[in-house]
Parts: sequence; structure tokens; C-alpha cells
Amino acid sequence: MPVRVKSKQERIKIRNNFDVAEATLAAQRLAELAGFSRSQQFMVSTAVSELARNIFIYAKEGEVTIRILERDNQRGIEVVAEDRGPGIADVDAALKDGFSTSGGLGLGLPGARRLMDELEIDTKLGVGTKVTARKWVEA
Amino acid sequence: MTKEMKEIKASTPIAVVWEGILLLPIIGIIDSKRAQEIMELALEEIARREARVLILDIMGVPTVDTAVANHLIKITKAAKLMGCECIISGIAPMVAQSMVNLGIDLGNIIPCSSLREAIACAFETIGFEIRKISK
Repeated sequence: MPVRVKSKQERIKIRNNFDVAEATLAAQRLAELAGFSRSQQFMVSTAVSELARNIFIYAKEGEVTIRILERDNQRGIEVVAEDRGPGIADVDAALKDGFSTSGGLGLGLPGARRLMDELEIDTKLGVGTKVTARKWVEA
Repeated sequence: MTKEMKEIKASTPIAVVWEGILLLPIIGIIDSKRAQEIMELALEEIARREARVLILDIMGVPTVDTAVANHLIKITKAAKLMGCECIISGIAPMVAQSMVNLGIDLGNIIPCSSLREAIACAFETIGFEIRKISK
């Protein structure tokens, strides 16, 4: 199924908590543009908040790119959170509820996966992490 | 008290609703530093006023992600150790849905959708009830 990227996209550098908030707001704006319902917009922006905050907590800095996708008359949103941080040692564990190496609740990544439809993690120790998450507007 | 603490204190007013009941509205972005300062202020007030109920109103918090929830849970756990129950109010329907999907468990915190309900619940906890006076 061909997935096209719509021209609308936003790229936010993450360096502090205010950048996390900005990414969250941008996500909600684009989710609204893509046609998500109010509660779905909130799910997208909460997921972006988790991913952006992870960048800040674990890698100190990175980048979040949010874009609107289109396939077969269906619209969606894609979030790419990228950093050159330490990488994730155990991806399966990181996706389990309650696992955290930072003293958090351990619900960020698994929670973001539940809030979105798809979530992929591409990570290499000492190189960085790229999390790609997508959510589609229900037809 | 540092300059920052004073600023936090100014932006985080703690109101006494009734003897034993404190109201803490939280507005804006909560990061770990601010959460820590809110916690210190809240616990100080709880001790000073011998509060038995603390209402945390989070209507002004734009996004409740797991980090924010974790901070709130920590504040309420510490309050509980001091003999003070916590009520969280102002959770919007959309925020509630996202929190469920995230898998956040608020544990012992009493949730109320509105501040009105939270205040009624707080009065009940200290043994009061709100009723209309008949004229």
C-alpha cells in the first residue's frame, strides 16, 4: 500500500522541557489537521510528549519530526523521535510495562505504543535511537 | 528561600478551603525541578496547617504524560505519610482517556472530575457535609 507524505511537517529540536511541550503542541496541531478527533489528538500529543521526554531524559538532546501521511483516502500521522544518545540495551524490556532505568513509572514507551497504532524502535548502543510511531484516522 | 523557590511559591498558591483542607491548583508545565518544589511547598503547608486533605487541581496542566503522573503520585504518597489524603481534580475527559492508554494507575488518590466534586469529597473526609439551608 503506497504511503505518501503530505507536505505538512514540523521538526522540533529537543533540548529542554519547554521543547518537549512545544513538540506536544505541534503534534496536537498536526493531528487536528490530519482529521483526528479531539480525544485522538490528545493521544497523539501525549505519545509525542513521552517520546520527546525520553530524548531529554536519556540522550539530553535530539529531534522530533511530525508529519501527516496519506494512504488510500486515509490520513495518519507519523512521529519520528531521533537522538544520538546511549541507545537502548534491551528493547523488549523497554517495551514492557514497569521497566525503567531512570526511576520513572516505566510506562512511557509501552504507553506510547498503546496510544499509537504502530511503533518501531531502531537503536544501537553508543550510536543512538530512532523511534517511529504512526497512527491512522479511523475510517 | 531561594529566588526560584519564591517564584514557584508565587506561581503555585496554596489556598486554605477550610480548616484541614488545602487546595493546590497546578498550572503549566511540570518538570522534575518544579515538581520537587511543589512537593516541598505542599508538604510544608500540610505540616503547618495540619491539613487532612489536599486537593490537587490539574486542569491547567496541558499534558499528563507518565513523567507528570509520576510526580503527582510522589507528591500524594509523601502527603499520605503525613496523614493527609489527596484528591486530584480537573482531569479532562481526553486526558483521562490518554492516561488509561498509558496504563497509569493513580493508586490511592481519590479522583474527582470537577473541583466542586473534589471540595464536597474533601468536606466528607473531614466529617462535614454540604447542604442547602432551608428558608
